[in-house]
Amino acid sequence: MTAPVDSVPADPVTDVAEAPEAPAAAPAGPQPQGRRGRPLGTLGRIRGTLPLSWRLGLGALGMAGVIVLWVMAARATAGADTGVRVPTPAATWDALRDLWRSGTLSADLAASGERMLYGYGISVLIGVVVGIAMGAFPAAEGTLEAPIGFLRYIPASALTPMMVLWLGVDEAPKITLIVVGTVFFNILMVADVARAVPRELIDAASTLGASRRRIVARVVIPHSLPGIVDVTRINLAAAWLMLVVAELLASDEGLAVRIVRSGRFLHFDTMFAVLVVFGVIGMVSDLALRGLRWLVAPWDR
Amino acid sequence: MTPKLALHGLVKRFATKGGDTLALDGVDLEVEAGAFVSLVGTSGCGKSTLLNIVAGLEQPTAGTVLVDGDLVVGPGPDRGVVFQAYSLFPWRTVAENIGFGLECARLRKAERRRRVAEMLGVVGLSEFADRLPRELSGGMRQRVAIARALVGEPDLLLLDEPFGALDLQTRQSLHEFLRRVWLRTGATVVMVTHDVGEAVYLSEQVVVLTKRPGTVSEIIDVPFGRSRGPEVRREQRFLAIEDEIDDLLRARRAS
Repeated sequence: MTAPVDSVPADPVTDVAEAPEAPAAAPAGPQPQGRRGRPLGTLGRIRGTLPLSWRLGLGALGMAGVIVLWVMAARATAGADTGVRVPTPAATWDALRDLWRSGTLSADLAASGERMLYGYGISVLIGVVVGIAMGAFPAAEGTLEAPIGFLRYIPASALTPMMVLWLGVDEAPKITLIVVGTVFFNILMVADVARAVPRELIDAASTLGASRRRIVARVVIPHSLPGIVDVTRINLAAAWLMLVVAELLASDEGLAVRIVRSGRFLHFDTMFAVLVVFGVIGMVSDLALRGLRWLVAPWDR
Repeated sequence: MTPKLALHGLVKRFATKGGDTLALDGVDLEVEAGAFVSLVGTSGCGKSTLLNIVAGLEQPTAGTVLVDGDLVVGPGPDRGVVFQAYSLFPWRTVAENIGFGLECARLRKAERRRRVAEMLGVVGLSEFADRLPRELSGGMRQRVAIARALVGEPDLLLLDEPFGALDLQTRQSLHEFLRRVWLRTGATVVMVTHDVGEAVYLSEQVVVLTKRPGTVSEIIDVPFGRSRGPEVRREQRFLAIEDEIDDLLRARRAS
């Protein structure tokens, strides 16, 4: 009888990399009478790590799958005369090139990038300061937990009209929207990270003569650093969504502006080009923050 | 002469779901300077609570802790503590872990480096100064923890089941290590353990605690001198003391 996991063709690279779990075909010594146990499998295994070659290969396969679906959707809608046609990858590529050559894309990138930098930067700064305070001091937690738990359920976009009246239609309300839309998540998640500092480490520090200020600076913050980078990475996606909302109010430049405008004029190839840019920026920043975490916490790799 | 450590009528009550729990009920104890005293008791007898109160990490419900006649009101570097495990700062190297207390005392960098290097020599970890804790074995980590607690030259060294998580061979080699360190530094040591053999082998006095609520049941003097070696563990007298303590613990459990 063959278990499903065995039906995956044996990969020589895998067998070398995972040698301890792949029994040799012809064991030395007396001939075994039978076999016992359920093999852990290679591709079908639960948890554990795949060899690099498999990981890269599967990643490429996944991306190829997306492109195949895209091409199929483009083919299927090619004959539609409603005008709602999914642009082909080639058309999207052409639109992307046009956006780049006309300078529109770099202007959009600069405008959106600046908003994200200020908006999300402020949000992370507040999140870290307030979150660490809540995680370290039960008094701060007791005071702030209820109001923040309430505030984070308020949809930030609902406040848009008020913000425009107060702050005008320039950058200030857009940056504020990104802050309001992400800061409460940053605070609460950083607080969780800071609360996870083991009791023993804080006890050890205080028996060694550390003041409360030193315990926060030299124990709570260093222990929380990798977790803070993780929180920043996870909430960055929410910040991008808030950017779209923010740019919907009176902007001339910006990635979301470009998407909305090209959509309105049925320039779906341009719209897709900017969506691709969105996705690529997301993936790259995700990777960059993973790299940062690796750099700041060699002890927690 | 004032004892190094004096406990008077220590009571500790915890609020728990089913009402209050009395963990310690009037513990009196005196420890002379330079002594090595172990506290043994069955699990849940409040011995770790007792040590935490001496360390200043917990407040007693009633009673006082005096070190050299001074009232303990909180944790401080005059009482070095070694916890059971996992208390090293994982982002700090061995040398940086040992130097933590000296940083708190605002010693100059050169002085810190000199004392850390000296302490690394005492615990035999000079070659591992720049390693992270996760790169060390369990026994080496506890040696770092002991070095970190001792480098500030505390009046009292408090050990909370320091070898509980280690295998037998490592534990025995750390017993010898701890004895050397104790004799060399002249520190006063109070150790909590549930390993009776360990307590008898290392200590000059073994304090047997009753089961919850914990009180001092008996104080056993260990008659072997300070220069004892592992061979005393096989002596008839040693085994007799072990049996006596085991009986005390078992009797307390039955009642």
